Amino acid sequence: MTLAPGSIPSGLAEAVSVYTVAQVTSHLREKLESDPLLADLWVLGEASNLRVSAAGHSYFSLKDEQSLLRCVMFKGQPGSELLVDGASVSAHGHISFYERGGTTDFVVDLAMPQGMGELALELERLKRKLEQEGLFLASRKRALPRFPKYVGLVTSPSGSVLHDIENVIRRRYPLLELLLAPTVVQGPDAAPAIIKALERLNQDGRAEVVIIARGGGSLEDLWPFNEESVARAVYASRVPVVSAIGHETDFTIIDEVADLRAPTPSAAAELVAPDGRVLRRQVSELEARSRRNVTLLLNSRRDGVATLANRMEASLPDGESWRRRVDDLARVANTAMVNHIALAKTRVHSLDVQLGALNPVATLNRGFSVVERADERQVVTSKDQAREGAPLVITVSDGAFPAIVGSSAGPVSPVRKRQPVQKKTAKKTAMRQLL
Amino acid sequence: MVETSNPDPDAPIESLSFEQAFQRLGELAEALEAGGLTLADAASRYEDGMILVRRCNQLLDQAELKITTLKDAYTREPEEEWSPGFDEKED
Repeated sequence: MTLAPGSIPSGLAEAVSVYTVAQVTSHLREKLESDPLLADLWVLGEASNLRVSAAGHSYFSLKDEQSLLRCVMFKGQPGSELLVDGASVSAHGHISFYERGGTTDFVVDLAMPQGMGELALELERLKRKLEQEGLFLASRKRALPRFPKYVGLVTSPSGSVLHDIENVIRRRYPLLELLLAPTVVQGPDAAPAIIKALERLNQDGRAEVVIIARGGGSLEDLWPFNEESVARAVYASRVPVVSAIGHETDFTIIDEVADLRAPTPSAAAELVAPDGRVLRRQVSELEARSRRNVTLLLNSRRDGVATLANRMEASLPDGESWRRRVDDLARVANTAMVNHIALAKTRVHSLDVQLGALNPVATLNRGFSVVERADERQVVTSKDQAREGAPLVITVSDGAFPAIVGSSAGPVSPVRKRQPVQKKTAKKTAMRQLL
Repeated sequence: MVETSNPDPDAPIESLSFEQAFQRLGELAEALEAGGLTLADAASRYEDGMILVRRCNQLLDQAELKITTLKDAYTREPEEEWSPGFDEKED
């Protein structure tokens, strides 16, 4: 046992009969504040003697016909605005002994208007308490998975809620698997059963989001979802929780704690399951986008190839002009050739003529003959060589024949033969010799 | 949490979940839109994209909602005192 200053150890009373004031007030305080009833109670009464201190604390009394309770409500506690003289209020708080003032005070932490039912009062109190602890903070709300594969469901296995949720998910996104953690959702066993079901889903580990759902009902019916233990279990869940309790107008504590509140169980299913129709549309949009971009790319490459081809073609020598140049050259060559041949022909002709003029055969053809002395084979060019009786050989155009010089009866003159000659043959022979 | 994102980029498309296929399709569309790909690369991505489109639609069309009821298997084990602090328990 510790002996804190001012405390009265048991057994001390026998040894000492006089206490200090501090010892007594401290003992009183300890006694009062260790009493579980006095530590957490609701008191109904009429507010009076209200005084607000400079620091903002409210000092007042709660009274009824017979008695009066001194009260203090520190600044910032909810409901202080209700504390006007004469107002009936339900106040929540604890009893404390104020040693310096020697007074027993009711330290109020929540004031509510009189007339609220007990459950409503308790609900309000719990709400304030958990809110102060930070269980409702928006900053701790987690995002839901976009495409959950596994969705946990804490609800009654019988009843329309399960059915509704199934239908919505089947219609929207049947790709996911529902993990049902069945539980009772009403009555005194509900709170621990709900906690256990949530625990089971957390232990299973597959669910990426959990729906806690219940159909509509009275405040009493929905009460398990207002239990502090259930609220704390929801707060502690590793898996994000969507609450869907009752109708749209019903609010429970776990709605505040959950990562997301759905107005109804069907709405919860819609919040959790993506919409297949929207997804289909998105898929086809992505498809169209891809197709468009690939087509653009293809077209731009095709244009690029065409541009390059054009450039390459442009840089090639001009086929047409080459063809023209070849034509021109061919024409020039042709003309030159023709001229050349014509010239050659002319030259051949003139040579032929020249040759024809020089050819002795031609002379013979014209009727001349060559006379030679047969014995000396000398051409007779003088009459002195032609003595009477001398043998001669006379050559004419087609051959030679012998002759004898006769007696001269008169002067001899050359004979001109008018005989057609085979000029052509001679010419051919001459040509042949030429070529 | 169940592994969902960051699929193995080489995983065959037929084995992808809807989320994975949808995500990859989105990435392909982005890449095609961003440009800067070679024609061959773009063509092969486009081809993959069309397979992904089929995969996504097939998954949406053929899925059957599965409902599994969790048995009390966990409660049959020696009951540990459960506290709301399972937040701290890490797998």
